[in-house]
Amino acid sequence: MISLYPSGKSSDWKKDRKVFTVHSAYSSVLNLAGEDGRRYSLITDGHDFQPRSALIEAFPDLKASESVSVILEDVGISYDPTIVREKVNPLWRGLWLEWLDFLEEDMLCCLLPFVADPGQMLGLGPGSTPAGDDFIAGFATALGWSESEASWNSGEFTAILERVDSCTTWFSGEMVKDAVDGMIWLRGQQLCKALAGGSSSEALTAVGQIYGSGHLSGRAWLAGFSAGLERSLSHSVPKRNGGQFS
Amino acid sequence: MSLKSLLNNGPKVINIGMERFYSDLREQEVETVMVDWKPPLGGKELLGKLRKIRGDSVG
Amino acid sequence: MKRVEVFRGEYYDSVTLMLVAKELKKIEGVADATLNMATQANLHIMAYASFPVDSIAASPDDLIIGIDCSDDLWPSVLEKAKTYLVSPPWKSREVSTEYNPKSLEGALSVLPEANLALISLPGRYAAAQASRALERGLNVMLYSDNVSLEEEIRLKTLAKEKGLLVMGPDCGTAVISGKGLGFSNVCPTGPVGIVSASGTGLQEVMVQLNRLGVGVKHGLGTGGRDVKSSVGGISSLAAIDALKDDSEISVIVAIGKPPSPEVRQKITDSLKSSGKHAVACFMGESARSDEPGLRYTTGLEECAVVTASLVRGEDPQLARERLWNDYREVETRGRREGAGISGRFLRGLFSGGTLCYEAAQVAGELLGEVYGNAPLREELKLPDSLDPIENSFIDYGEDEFTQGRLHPMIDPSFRASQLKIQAEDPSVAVVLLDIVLGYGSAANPSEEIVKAINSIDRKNGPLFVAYVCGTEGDPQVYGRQIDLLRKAGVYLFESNRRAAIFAAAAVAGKEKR
Repeated sequence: MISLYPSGKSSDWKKDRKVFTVHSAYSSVLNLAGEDGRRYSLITDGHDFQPRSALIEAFPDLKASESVSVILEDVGISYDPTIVREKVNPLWRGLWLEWLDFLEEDMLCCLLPFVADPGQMLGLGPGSTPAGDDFIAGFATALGWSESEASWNSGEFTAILERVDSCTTWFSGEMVKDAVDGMIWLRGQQLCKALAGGSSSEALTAVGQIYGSGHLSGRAWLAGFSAGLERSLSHSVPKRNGGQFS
Repeated sequence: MSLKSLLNNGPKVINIGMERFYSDLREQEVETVMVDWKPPLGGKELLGKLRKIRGDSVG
Repeated sequence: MKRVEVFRGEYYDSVTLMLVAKELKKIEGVADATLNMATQANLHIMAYASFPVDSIAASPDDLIIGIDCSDDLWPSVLEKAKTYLVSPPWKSREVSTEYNPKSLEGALSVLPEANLALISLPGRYAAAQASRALERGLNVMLYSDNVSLEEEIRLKTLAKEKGLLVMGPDCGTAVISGKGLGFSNVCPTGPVGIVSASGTGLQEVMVQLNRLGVGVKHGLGTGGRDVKSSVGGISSLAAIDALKDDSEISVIVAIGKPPSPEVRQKITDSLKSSGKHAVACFMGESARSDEPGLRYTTGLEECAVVTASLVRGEDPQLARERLWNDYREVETRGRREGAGISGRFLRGLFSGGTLCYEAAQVAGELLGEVYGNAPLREELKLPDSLDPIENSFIDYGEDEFTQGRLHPMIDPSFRASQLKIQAEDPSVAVVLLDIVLGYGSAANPSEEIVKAINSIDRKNGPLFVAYVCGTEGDPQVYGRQIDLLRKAGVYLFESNRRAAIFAAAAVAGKEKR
């Protein structure tokens, strides 16, 4: 069995030495299933840090169902995926409102009827992670991040967690669970940081990193994130120069 | 903003349409943003749902 | 074998369509490829090029792809076209490119201090965006044409209420604090402020001023219809007022075709009361005497020459006289050169509307009737712009050639193909062109023109005459463009008018024999 030696890990990867089963291998990400049934990932690009991930220089050609051993003794923490609540800068609202329009596109418009009740989107839509799941992940992340007075129905998310295993793929379900559990991927974290701040170039770069990721995933995630922000702010909507929002 | 302040402060441009105008402005070190505009695609019903969501949240 | 395919309701911008066509033409076995929005005008052009569009039912919002290749290649080339449209091969595949906002609101959150929206969307969408921009306190430069007169009036009235300026519709050029917007040449700044109803008119005056060592601080566009009585010169007057208030400007210049009488009065009154020197260039008018505070010119180069002399504190009349002298020399030379050429007629093939207009005017003075697609008189309008007759001037930037298709200053290929056709016609004696450099224009505009010239199949070819409207600072490298054309045997001149005088004199010289 092959042993892999990452150089940095996320703070939620607890096991120092364990055996995993390969789920899928891409050019820069290796997805593994742990004995605990969770998804673990080895990444070669630091931009791809996410919950339960570790950075490795390279990994060999591996096939699904192969076993590998991952050794993390004395490996330092490079990434903390815990969402930290912050206040979103309301001046970005014009920007995030655009992301809801992604749902007008051909491939994503199947999600439109469920925007008010995203739980219905579980397992729905095209993509290796169904676009609906990306939307839910973005939605949950926004509600977990954005500090606001709005109370939101956590029961909604309990219901989602109950249905995840039966409604969607294991891999996609892991993504949804992590988001609902208050965990975030690095690109999402950079976006949140940018939206709490005031730098245009930081914001546009952060959005760009997500927009271009995956085939549709990035856009579906952003749409969900946008809907989540709107939901979170529904009790404290800022006006801008007395003007109207579109 | 007014015409006067445009002429006094120099152009800060939102470019909606052809990208070449945006890159030419950047080359001249003009502050500018590129808008990737596309005409609305969705049918009326879908658009209505989308707007309702936004409208609902505005409160 | 030429075939077409229609894609319903697909939206792609003109640059994408042009670039996809270019990619398809690289494929071995593809003789020609063209992608256009299925407007009447484009279908006409495709029919002229023998694409089978007769039985096509398509609306201007549909995309029509025409490919000339063998039958067995057709399916794969069509597939490639679809693929390129969705995933352009010329775009880099990085995930980490910056996001571009998709809406005005999004853009405003990124650049809250924005003071101008530069809008180059298709006409039917442009007006709504312009309106939104004005509502949000932005000045507007409206490159788009196909905006109705009613819309224009509405937008400009709204702008006036808000103390904002609408440059356009159909405004391709502006300069603010020395920074070029749209099509513009790299010029120094200086004590001149220009208000222009014409894009290439503004470019020509700035380029000529640059040759005389004089810079321009602001060059504001108004769109071609601003001086009609229905619009009332709203933008022109607002622009003049703003230039009056600028202490760094000592000469105000107004360029355009003659305004309607009541608008003209308002404009000239405003110019005369500005407390600064003022120069008007109402093209197509006969010469009139200067008035206190306002000098009249009838040509773009003359306008620049008079303006420069005012900036330098010299006598504008002396400067004019030197210019007339130069023109006489050019005409004499033209008549001499024309004596031996074969063919009888002059064909002007232009990318700049005002350059075409000025050149056609000059030709009319020397040759009599000059036909065209945007002629000086209605009765001289060509029934088919693809079939010029006798002495003709075609402006390839006109609507019929630019709906869902790139302006000839951006994509020279269509004009180059027409040049070949015209030049191979044995009745054509002289071909006259403009080549406009600067931001916005093609990277190497002379290249396609020279290729076309070198491919001409005709024993005694026509005389080629050209004017390169550009400066040393322009991205296309002025010197390189001149070299390319010179090597191809093209006669080159330092202003649009000089080139036109020479070309028309050459044909007139022929007739005299």
